[in-house]
Amino acid sequence: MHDSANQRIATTTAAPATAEIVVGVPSCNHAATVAQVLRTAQAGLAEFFGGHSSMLVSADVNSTDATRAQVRALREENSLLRELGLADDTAGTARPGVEMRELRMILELAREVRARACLVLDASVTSMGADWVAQLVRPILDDQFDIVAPCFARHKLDGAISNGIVYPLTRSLYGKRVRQPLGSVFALSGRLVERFLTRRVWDIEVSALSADARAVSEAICGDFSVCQAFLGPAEHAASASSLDLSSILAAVLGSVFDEMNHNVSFWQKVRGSEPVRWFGAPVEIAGDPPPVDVHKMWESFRLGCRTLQEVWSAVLPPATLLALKYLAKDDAATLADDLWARIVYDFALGYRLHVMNRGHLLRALTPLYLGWLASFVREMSAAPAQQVERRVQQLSMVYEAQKPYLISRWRWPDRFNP
Amino acid sequence: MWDQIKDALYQATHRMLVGVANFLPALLALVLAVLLSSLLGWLLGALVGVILRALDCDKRLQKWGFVVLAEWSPKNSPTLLLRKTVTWTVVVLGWLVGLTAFGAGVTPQLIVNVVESLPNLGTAIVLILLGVLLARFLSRAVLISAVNMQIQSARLLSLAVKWLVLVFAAAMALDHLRVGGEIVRLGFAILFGGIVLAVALAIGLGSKEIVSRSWERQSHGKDEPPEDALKHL
Repeated sequence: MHDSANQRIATTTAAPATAEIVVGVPSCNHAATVAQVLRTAQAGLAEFFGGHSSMLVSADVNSTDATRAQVRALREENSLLRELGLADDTAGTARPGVEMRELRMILELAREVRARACLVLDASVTSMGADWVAQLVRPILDDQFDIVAPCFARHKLDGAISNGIVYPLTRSLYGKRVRQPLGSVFALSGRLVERFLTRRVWDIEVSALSADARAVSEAICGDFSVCQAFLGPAEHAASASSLDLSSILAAVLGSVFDEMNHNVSFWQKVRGSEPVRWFGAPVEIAGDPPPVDVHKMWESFRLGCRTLQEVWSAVLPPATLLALKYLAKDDAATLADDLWARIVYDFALGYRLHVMNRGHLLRALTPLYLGWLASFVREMSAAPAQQVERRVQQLSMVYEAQKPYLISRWRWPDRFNP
Repeated sequence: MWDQIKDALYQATHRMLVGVANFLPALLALVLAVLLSSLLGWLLGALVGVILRALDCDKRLQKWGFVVLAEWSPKNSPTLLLRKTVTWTVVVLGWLVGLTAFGAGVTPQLIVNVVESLPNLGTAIVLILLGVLLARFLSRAVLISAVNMQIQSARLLSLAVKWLVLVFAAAMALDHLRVGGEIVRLGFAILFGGIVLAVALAIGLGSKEIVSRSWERQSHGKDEPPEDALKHL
């Protein structure tokens, strides 16, 4: 971390010299939910870690709504709550990826107080339970793990970007089966906090939607121990879900592909994958899954096939383009797993090579993603949740099987060029 | 009488032969200058290409952050652009030398005119180039966004945006060169208006379903559940 940045950070209350556990909540315009998350975290610390020294921290630099007022009001009730912000006048100016600054502040405080565990929570979650604190922090304190990724309970078809792209891709790249790399909350050990700050992991601009994926991949590349914990469902207030699909895809995949470029020397040596230890028990979600309009998704895919051939031809090899053309002729065809895995790999390569504006490139993947999703939903809509999970694992194995294709294209990109 | 005719014919033939004798070397000089400059231009261009490739210029520029050209027009690398610039500069210089040799009386004025209009010409070329790059960039952005919004006439919209920008750039370039005057402005206004009308029609026809769905949702109130409630993240 830069010294100048250190000087600009201001804590509103003096921090104690040491704390075993630091629970941090980075926020930006989360007035509706931040107080609830902080209260629940405080309850979790009191209930499960009463015998440990702990610290609850709110970090906020850029909120323009009542978030900071909410935190200040809460601090009057709870003297243990610390508030981090910037001392200068840059507060209040919205910038992309800004929650990364808050995250860095929390990590710096955790290092300063020599915390053994640092839990980072999502200020937009409305369904957090006090037990989340225990589930995420215990593996670090009791079993000496370095990072705990969450596994939220969700309906069988939910989390499609994670199921169809991010999980299979990170699994095949880094060789660890972390089921929900886009979990939005995670816990880190003291030595991993130190590593992140030394390596300036969050100095590279990253979307707030995928900070967790970056934390997991950096931990794996640094040979730190990874585990995952079952949690309840994660309901989010507005922000992330209010973005349109192509913006979400661009934000998430941009960060994942950046991370991929950053760790080339590591993932090119990885073959296959290994399971990651679980903590807790899986939570079932009651009720029917939400309705999905498969026809509309497939029509988006067909429209893309009719009109985006020119854009895709800068990224995809002719054989893939031809296969997509044939698929688009059918009303209910299936996008095969190997074709889908190669498409994602081709887009990762196109992103690396800058074949066009990166925003355009990532958004041009949306119709293809909808085509894959339509195929997946058609196949799995009547299947039980366990079968859907087996199907995701099967898809991930195809990603692993297609990894030599990615490596050869990455090393000799011109060889496949149209 | 016959002597006078013979004399007149002789003088005419002499004048013609003198004219041809004066004209041929100048023509040959022009042809030679053009041929030599083309050859020299091609050689220099090739040499520049080889040197830049040896220096790995494209990748270096990309590393240093000069990615605009590659992003907006991937088929034209900076190396290719520099190579073409060198070749065509030498060819144009060769033409000017040839024209000077061709007609010493006329050409200096031509060269003065050409040199005087060079800044305007350069600006016009830059305007056209920027227009082409911007048109390409914006038309692709519109195409992708329209497809993601499921607008059926996405390609038409993208084409309309492309031609709007191109026509705008061409009109600006011609205006800068003071070519055409009022006709260019009038033509531009008609074309621009036509394209805007085409875009309006394309949006109206292509997104009528989206508009009607949006109106229906508004008229039924905000509590109606969305038709696709799948969480992607």
